[in-house]
Amino acid sequence: MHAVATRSAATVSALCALCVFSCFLHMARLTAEGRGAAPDFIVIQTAGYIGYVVAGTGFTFFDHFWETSALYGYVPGHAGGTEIHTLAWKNCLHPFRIKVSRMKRMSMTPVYAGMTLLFPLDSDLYTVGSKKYPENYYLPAGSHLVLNIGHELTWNVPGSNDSFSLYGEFAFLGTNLIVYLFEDRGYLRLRDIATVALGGKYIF
Amino acid sequence: MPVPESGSREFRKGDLSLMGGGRMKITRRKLLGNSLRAVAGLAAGACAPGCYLDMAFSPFVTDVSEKDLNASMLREIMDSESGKGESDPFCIALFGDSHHYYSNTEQVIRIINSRDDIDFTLFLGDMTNEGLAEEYEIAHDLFKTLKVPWVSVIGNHDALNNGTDIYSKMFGTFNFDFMYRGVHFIAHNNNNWECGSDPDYDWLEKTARESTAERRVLFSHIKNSNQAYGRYSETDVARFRQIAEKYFSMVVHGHAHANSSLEYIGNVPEYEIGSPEYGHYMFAHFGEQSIEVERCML
Repeated sequence: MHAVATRSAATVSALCALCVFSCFLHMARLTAEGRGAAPDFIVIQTAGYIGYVVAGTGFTFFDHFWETSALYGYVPGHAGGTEIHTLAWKNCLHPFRIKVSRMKRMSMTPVYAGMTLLFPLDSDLYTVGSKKYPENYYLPAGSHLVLNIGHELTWNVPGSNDSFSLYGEFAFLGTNLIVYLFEDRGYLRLRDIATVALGGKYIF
Repeated sequence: MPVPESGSREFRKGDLSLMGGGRMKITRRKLLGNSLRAVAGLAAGACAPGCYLDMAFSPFVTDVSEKDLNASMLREIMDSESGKGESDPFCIALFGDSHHYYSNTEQVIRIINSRDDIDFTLFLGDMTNEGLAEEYEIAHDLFKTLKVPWVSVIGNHDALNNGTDIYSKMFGTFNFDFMYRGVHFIAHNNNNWECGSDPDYDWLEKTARESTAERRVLFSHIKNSNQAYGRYSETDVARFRQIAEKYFSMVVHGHAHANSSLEYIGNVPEYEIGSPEYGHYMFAHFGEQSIEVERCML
């Protein structure tokens, strides 16, 4: 379990470093183009472990191949039993997009994959740095990793370069995936841990 | 060669192109139909009543499907008691720390279900790793396959994150007690760090002192003399030992994963039961005067 956690932490750290580096490159490009640090899209979503209502903004790289976004999610008491505020960093790779040339306004991404890091805005939910427990008594908990696999439809807005997307995706909580893949292989079925998220994006 | 659907036209080469310049042949209607069906299917799958695709709003939600399980299980235990004499022998199963070791726990449950002499099961806490609602739900789906009623005490992992709220909704109060055929079973929450307060020894002593039963069994998650990381103060350990020695016939804990052990507080046996992770579980046979314990391994 410790080995899995260590490998996961190393992978996430490497990806984070890559993301930060790319963001700097992207900012430099936007600045050179005179766009400043304006984001490439705004997004709303529901579910995906981020919130009942999720809103955020982000950047795209390499002709929409890679999307990175910062999201805020809110779960009201009636939807989750308690109020929850979450910040999330979502990164998705769109390996290819299919254009429908007879309907030039429309394209689709058959499948994209990504992962989301969750940071709940409640210090009681973190074991690291908590004064309640001795150091290293619990494995780090609080932040969670979510794996996303989705499908997206995009329409170009007539008379502009803007576009609008709708997406639906499966979201898998990392904790459940670790059980599914490593800790108790064969007990849980994929459908036991699959959840659904829906969202829309406006791309500038 | 794709067969055009009725009312649709097959595209000529190049009608659909990949962003990278590749080409594929597929009818437009089929493509859009499948695409829309994929998004609509996800939406419908999430919204349809009774569907198995959930929309998860957060790992930290506290809503759970089951409520007050300990109370309903205790009603079942009481119902099963009717018509049986107080001095009739009976047997209970005990295990704890199932965490994510679902397959091993399933084996323990299968063994309990295969016996017809078990009256109920005491679960000694830690059915989750992080106290998440999804973990509670998965554990409950497994535990509900037990053929006998089961009650659970809260474990330290169950109390992490929003786990105390979830446990309260799903099982009820942290400290509770019940009588079964003249034996008083007392469940005591001693997860002091996770619950943010010291174990309620006043409640424990009062409940035991006021008990009219001749035999009392205490079950809690952590061994109260566990001095690892200084969880309990010397004063608390001394108080617990005094209560246990004075009022109880047997004390049972979970929390120790790899080992099951037996020690004595005066003349009172104090058992620690390991986890199904390492194959541990236990049966306790209550005779007219005796309590015989069967410590088992998978």
